[in-house]
Amino acid sequence: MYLLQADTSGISRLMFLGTLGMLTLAIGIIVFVIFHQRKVIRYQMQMKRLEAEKQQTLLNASIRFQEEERQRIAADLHDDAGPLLATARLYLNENLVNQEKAQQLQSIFSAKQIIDDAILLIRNISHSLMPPTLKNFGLESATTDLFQKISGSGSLNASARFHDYRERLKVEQELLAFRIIQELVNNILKHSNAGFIHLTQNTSGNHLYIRIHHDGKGIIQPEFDKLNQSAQGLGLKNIASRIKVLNGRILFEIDPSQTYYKITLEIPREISIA
Amino acid sequence: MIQITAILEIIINIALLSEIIPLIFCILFYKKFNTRILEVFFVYAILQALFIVLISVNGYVYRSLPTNNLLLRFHLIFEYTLIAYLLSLLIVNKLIKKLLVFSILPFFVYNLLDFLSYGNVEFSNTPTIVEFLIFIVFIIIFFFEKMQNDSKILIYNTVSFWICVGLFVYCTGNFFYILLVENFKNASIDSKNQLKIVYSIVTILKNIILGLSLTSLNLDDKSSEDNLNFPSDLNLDAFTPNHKLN
Repeated sequence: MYLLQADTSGISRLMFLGTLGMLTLAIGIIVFVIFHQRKVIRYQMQMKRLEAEKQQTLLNASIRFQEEERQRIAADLHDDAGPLLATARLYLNENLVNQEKAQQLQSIFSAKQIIDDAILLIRNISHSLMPPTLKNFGLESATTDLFQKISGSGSLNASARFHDYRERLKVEQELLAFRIIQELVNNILKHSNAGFIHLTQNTSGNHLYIRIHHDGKGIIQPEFDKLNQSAQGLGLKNIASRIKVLNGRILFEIDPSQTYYKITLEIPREISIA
Repeated sequence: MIQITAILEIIINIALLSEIIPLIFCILFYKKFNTRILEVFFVYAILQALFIVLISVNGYVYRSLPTNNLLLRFHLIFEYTLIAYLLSLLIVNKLIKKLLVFSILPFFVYNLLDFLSYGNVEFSNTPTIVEFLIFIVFIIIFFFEKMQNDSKILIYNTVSFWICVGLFVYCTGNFFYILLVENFKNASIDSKNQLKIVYSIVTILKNIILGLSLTSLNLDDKSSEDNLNFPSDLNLDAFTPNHKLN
């Protein structure tokens, strides 16, 4: 108050008000910067947490899938291979030497047949883990084979066409891609009630593209994302986790004509050295 | 009336003494100095203290106004050079960095021309106004860059932020004082002292902020890295294509 009564009171007032205004503005800017940055960091942390939760879900799904696969193999071995080998053992017991020659031959023949069945069974289990067609002839042959088998069942029309697969992917990539295709086809067979499934493949740049068309009841990307986040949809989670391992992308969509659904896979190419 | 004058004198003297605060904190935290920014800040703190000693000696012993004005002009040039360089180290944009560094020479030339026009008999406020305006603009650019940056460290946990806050408060708080100081040439010493209170308080505030800014060196980056990736030892055979082909 005393200052304002000085000779140069007008200029003093201007100076005080100006300084006050400038300082208020400065403090305002500083506070805004601090709060804005805090908000940005909080948002980033939230996004990171969501991503971590998603990864955790995928990891859990992968572990659960592996456990289920082990249980299935254990069940196959215990329920099928076990009894077969036990039966074969019965035929080849100690009394075999005391039996008549014709009966001996009959027992050996029966045991041989049972062992052959056991070998076939074990081979089937082994093939379900790593299809030999895939290992020996690649993704194109394995996929075509799978589609021919589906078509051969007569329940629906299935076909696969590879446009450009001169250079095979790495074995690990092929297996992951094949498992994704298998899972997608299984889902279509189980849930969509489709009349046809058609697969086409092509390459562009350093990416391989696979597209599956079907005319059944399908899903679109938001539904896939939703199911992927939820506790349901183990198969879809497996697809998502495999896509992640491949560094690829997947897109679920419906054709503009609304007559069929499309699922497109994008896989970065890592060419097999072998 | 006498009491008020005495209080004002004390505040002005405290403001002069406060220029040593950044230097004291620099000495205390010297062992933790590991960047060029802090080294430049240390040089700035030393020069600031040195100039305040020289100005005080001249003010209390020789009482020579031309010498005082000459010292203030030298101080201004050194202050501009160091702060401009410091800001060029803090700002990320390369063009703005270059602009700041290359502005030192024009500012020096401008000061020289101003000195040739006014001499050292009178205090010229325009170079200081130019300096403040340039710093206000570049500090706002620094804040803008920090807002866009996706760093995980909270901005108020960094030394650079508090150095800029100190300088920003100093430039904005003293802007109107420097702008209007020429209007008080003919005012009495008491009136001048009353107006100097604004400058003094802002200067004390700046020096406290600059000094305390170094305490942020103790704060570590507490941001944690995301470690929820797929572990590699789970033998998820189909999911980890790590093994090489023979």
